[in-house]
Amino acid sequence: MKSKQILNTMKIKLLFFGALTDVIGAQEQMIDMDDNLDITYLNLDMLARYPSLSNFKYKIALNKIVVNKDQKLKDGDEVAFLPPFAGG
Amino acid sequence: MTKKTHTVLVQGPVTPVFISDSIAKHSGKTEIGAHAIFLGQVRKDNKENNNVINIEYSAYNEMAENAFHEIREAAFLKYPMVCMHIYHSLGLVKAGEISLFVFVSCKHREKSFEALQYIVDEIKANVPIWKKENYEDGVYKWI
Repeated sequence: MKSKQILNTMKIKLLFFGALTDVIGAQEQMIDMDDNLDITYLNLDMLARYPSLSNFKYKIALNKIVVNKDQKLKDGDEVAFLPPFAGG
Repeated sequence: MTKKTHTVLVQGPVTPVFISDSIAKHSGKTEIGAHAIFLGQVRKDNKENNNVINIEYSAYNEMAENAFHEIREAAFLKYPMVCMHIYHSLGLVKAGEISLFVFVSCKHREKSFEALQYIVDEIKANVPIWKKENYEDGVYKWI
């Protein structure tokens, strides 16, 4: 029987708002990440893929709640990148 | 006091007709002695000889509705309001049109002014809404 490597990955939905939609070129992305990674890792990965993201201020929401970056991710999570709010 | 969840986000401008209808709907609530109303209007800003023609509002809808709900709950705990309504635009709103309507009703005026200021400040600070200013020459700027 052929041996099979078991890679546990999680599907994460990313959402971008305001000026960040122009930086990323999309409002939404689905990504695969290895299990057990946190938002800090995701954020660094995004900064590596989109260096100009570092010019922007933003908070990160996990499943619609603003969280700290040490928050661990799990399969099916929704992570949103939120520039400063400007309602009104 | 828990009030039912209201939908706050509306497509396009808040019209003067909608605002006057909202006022009219309160004529039966005769315990009210003071309405305080805030209307946010899209300003025709001029930057480098270029005028704003409209603002395009976008939101993280579900999170925004949650934030509006929390503001509502906190305001009812903090102030003796008889009722309160918030409407905020999504999509295009032209310069001169209304994009935010906050309507606070109390027995007396003092608390209605305080509650109104509190609610508008909370909306500005805590609701995930963004605006894209579109200018006459076709350029735009995210706010």
